[in-house]
Amino acid sequence: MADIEGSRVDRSRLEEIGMGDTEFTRDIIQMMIEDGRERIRLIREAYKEQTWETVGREAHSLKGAALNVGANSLAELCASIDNTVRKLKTTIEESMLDEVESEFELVKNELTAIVSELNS
Amino acid sequence: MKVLIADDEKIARLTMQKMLESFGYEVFAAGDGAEALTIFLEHHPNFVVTDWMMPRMDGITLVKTIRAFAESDYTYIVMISAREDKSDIMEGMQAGVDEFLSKPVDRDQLRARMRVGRRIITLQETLRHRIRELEEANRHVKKLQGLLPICAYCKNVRNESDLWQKVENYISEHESDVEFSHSICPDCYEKHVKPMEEKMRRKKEEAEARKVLELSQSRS
Repeated sequence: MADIEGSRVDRSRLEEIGMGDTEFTRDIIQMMIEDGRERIRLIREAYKEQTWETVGREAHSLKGAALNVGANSLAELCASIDNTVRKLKTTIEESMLDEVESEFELVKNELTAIVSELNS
Repeated sequence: MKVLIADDEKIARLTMQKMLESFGYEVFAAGDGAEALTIFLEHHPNFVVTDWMMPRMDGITLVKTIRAFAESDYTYIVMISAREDKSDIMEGMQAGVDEFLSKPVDRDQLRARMRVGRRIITLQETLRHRIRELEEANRHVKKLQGLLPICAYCKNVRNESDLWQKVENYISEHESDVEFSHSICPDCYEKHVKPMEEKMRRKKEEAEARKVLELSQSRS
């Protein structure tokens, strides 16, 4: 898994956690894609209801998952949301959620491509 | 050795599990603190690797609860957290955390922390073994301490059941390493044995004198 310029995923991290087990790496990537989609849905829902604790908690979880697969930019955006709503106790702009969602799409596409590479 | 992982984030949990299994540990995994506590009480793992923020019971509460049980076997606890404030670390240490690791968990760092933990656990086990030996030795010594009633005439002693017994029997029962060999001290020899020997010698002389007398009477 070679790193590509402009890459959204640190592939060395995927290699580190996969330890040569391609099936495990595939499972983790699939889990990240499904989990990320669900977390973003929950963040959007909580944002509408202005339940900031839930927004922060879900962003925190997504950050953890993102860090584990090497999606560091996505993790940073999630950390920013978590810090704003839970540490600083202020609200966030919806544009922050859009940014997270856009970054997640890029991560998802790259992870899907990595799975294809692993399958080939 | 057994490791319990507590993390509500599924990917983090699975990646840590895979790492720890590759190091040769038997791994149990829980999705929150409450589930982790149940597994802890059932399997008594040597290590707990826990996240800080979790639903139902957070990592700090889990650590405090585990430490409150104060089992004889030491549990080495590693806290995985993105929280790196000095106050957070102090709070974790006060709760009973042995080591911190930041997210995402680095394989080499995790392995190094586990090695440190193994050393600590082994040292604790050795120390506990030594303490047990010392306690056992101390228990033997204590048995022969305190006030022991002894008869001024026959020198028998009164044991814990209020029964009088010979001093050698008492000591043999209370200190298994002691054996007695019977002998006579010089004073007792002069006081008891010598008069008895004198008495026996006199009796023997009297008997011989009687025999000589009887013989001379029978001849005449």
